[in-house]
Amino acid sequence: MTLVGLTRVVSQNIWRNATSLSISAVGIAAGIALFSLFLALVEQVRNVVEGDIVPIDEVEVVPLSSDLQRMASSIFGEDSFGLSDDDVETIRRIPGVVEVLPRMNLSFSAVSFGGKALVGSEIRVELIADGIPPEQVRDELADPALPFDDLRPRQSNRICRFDTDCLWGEYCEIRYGGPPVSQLADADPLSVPRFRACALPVPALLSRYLLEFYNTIFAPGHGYVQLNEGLLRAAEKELQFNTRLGDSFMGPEAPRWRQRNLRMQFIGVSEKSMDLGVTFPIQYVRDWNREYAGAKDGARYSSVSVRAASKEDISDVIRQVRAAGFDIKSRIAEQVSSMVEVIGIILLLIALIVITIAGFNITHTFLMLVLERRREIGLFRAIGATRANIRNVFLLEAGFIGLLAGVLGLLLAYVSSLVFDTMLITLVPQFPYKPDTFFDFQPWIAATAIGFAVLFTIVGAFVPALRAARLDPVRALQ
Amino acid sequence: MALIEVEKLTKTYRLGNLVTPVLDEVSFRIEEGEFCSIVGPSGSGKTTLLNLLGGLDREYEGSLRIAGQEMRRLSDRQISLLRSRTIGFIFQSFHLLEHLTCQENVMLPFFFAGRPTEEARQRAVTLLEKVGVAEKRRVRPTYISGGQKQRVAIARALILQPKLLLCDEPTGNLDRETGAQIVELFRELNRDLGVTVLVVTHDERMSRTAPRVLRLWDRKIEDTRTDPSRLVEDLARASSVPPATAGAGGAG
Ligand SMILES: Nc1ncnc2c1ncn2[C@@H]1O[C@H](COP(=O)(O)OP(=O)(O)O)[C@@H](O)[C@H]1O
Ligand SMILES: [Mg+2]
Repeated sequence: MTLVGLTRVVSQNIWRNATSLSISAVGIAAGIALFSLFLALVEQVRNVVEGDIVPIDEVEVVPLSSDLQRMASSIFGEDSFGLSDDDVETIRRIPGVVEVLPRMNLSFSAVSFGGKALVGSEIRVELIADGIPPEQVRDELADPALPFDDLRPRQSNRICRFDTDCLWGEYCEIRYGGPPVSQLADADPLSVPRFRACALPVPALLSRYLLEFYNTIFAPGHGYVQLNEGLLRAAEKELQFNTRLGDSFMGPEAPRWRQRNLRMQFIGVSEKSMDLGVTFPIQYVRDWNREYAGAKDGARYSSVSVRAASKEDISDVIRQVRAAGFDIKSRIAEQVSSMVEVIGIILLLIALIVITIAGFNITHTFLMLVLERRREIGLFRAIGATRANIRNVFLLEAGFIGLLAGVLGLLLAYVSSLVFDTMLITLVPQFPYKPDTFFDFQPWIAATAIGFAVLFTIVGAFVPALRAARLDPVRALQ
Repeated sequence: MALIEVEKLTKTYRLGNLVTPVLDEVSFRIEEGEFCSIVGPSGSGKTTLLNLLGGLDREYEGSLRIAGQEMRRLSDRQISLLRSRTIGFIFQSFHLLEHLTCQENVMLPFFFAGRPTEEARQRAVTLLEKVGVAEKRRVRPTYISGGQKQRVAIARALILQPKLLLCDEPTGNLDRETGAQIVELFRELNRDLGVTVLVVTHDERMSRTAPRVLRLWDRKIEDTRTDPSRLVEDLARASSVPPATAGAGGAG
């Protein structure tokens, strides 16, 4: 059968039964609209979650935390809990791993305060921090006010009494000599030498997550200024915070006389910074942990951030990391993203149910059409149409309807997405990571939607088409 | 080799317990180019016989060969091909598609035969002219008379140049004058194109215009050949118009 002829017959058939066909096509279109709307929604949520909240190609590897191990380390008084350089090397060699970033948590308490010059009033927070090797973020930071590095070798260490005694950029810091705080419980405060020397501020990194959290929750609530990366780069002194090591809002940890102030300065935003805290060059954290927590082994890391070659590799990497005897720290964002996926799947199921019902509707409509066109089918057989010809006429007709329904459904989805966006943007208050649009219509979504529409319509029309093809021509012509 | 070879053809309808014997071991042959009418009372199996000859019904006993091919043995594809190339059907109720124009109706068999549309268009125009409804080309069948509809249907049956026309009471829905004109058209096609024509009719007078008559009676067939000299006379009696002008007008 010629394609021209087939197309002509089919298009005239559609034209003839336009009303009943368009009614059943609307069902498919509605299902497809839901389908593509949900896909676009899930796609966009994934963009936000994976792109901004947490890069899902990254996981955090921690030591296997068994109670036995913890017990052993407490009995033998040995702080061996953590990951060694060898462990880091083992993880680095796992196939699919492209980058490993050892992290060391601040293992004693500290308090930070400041920010008055920047946001208008003093912020006081418990300091949550960790340290990472500075060379691993160096490329990422564009022109920071201070290099992200251990700056102590570069500072003048001049004995001072006030900040003004120091070189530009330095401040006057209190220091202690003698044994670490943890071994000084009963020591005479006066026997510990104490002096002041000029030092450079400790460079600190902020996570994008924290910045966003500050901008959407914290700053509006307190009437503070909104921050952005540009501002972080431009402001220098304003971004210096005082940090009191050994202090805590929950009660001091170190003897008050051994607590000391130092200054940190935010120099930028980094993906490698910890989500809810600040990140320093690891050398500082190592030394402070020795000083205040008495950590014996400075080469043990609390965790290792592992980046896989791609998102698809991550589950493989996780499996191998676990096999190598380490554990994975589950992250909120990971849970968020899997929750989004579950919701997305549920919504897709709803869409599929709608499309399936619409498919049955198509079946019904086409059965009616076959009945209606019985004599015509008989005639087609009499003038030389094969069974396959008859079947193809109906299937092609269904395909056309599916195509129309798919396009209609996509249009419907797009229009509804605009309506939803306007509603959500005007009616729903600002929340962290609230995007400009909640839908991301990727080309693959459009292709899938149209494909599904055509597929479901053809599948729906299949039984009627077969029935038409099998009609006994003699009966059909009566 | 005859165009139609029927030997001991037996046809029985079985519907559950209901058994209806229609044809009982009938045999006949029809050569290419013959004009033959099939007569018999209502319910005698004329339509059944035509359906068997056209391969629309392939449940029979005995032997039935069209152009040398045993119908029962052909696949759906082969039989469709045979119908497409060799057989043209004409029905009492025309079976024109009301949503297509007359010309498109005529072109329809071409689509299923997988042949070029342009050729179909040219042939449709020629044939519509030949059957005398050229001016209705772009009109839908709803708006033309019964006689014109049957002419369009004839053009449709002829477009793939069949060897055999199977006509089931083609004049049954037409008034006598129009019917006579249609019959005259068949004679003309038989004479000019050499196409074999089998016309079913229950009208005895109509059947007498044919040189050969197959009479269905009591599940048997009686084969009679009419004396050609009586033909013109009968034709004149069958239609109320003089033989000289019959079929020339076209419009029914
Ligand atoms: N599909 C069928 N099933 C059962 N019986 C049928 C069928 N078609 C026709 N018949 C019976 O076969 C006989 C012949 O029918 P038909 O060939 O239509 O006769 P005609 O065309 O000569 O009037 C009738 O008795 C009719 O009731
Ligand atoms: Mg009949």
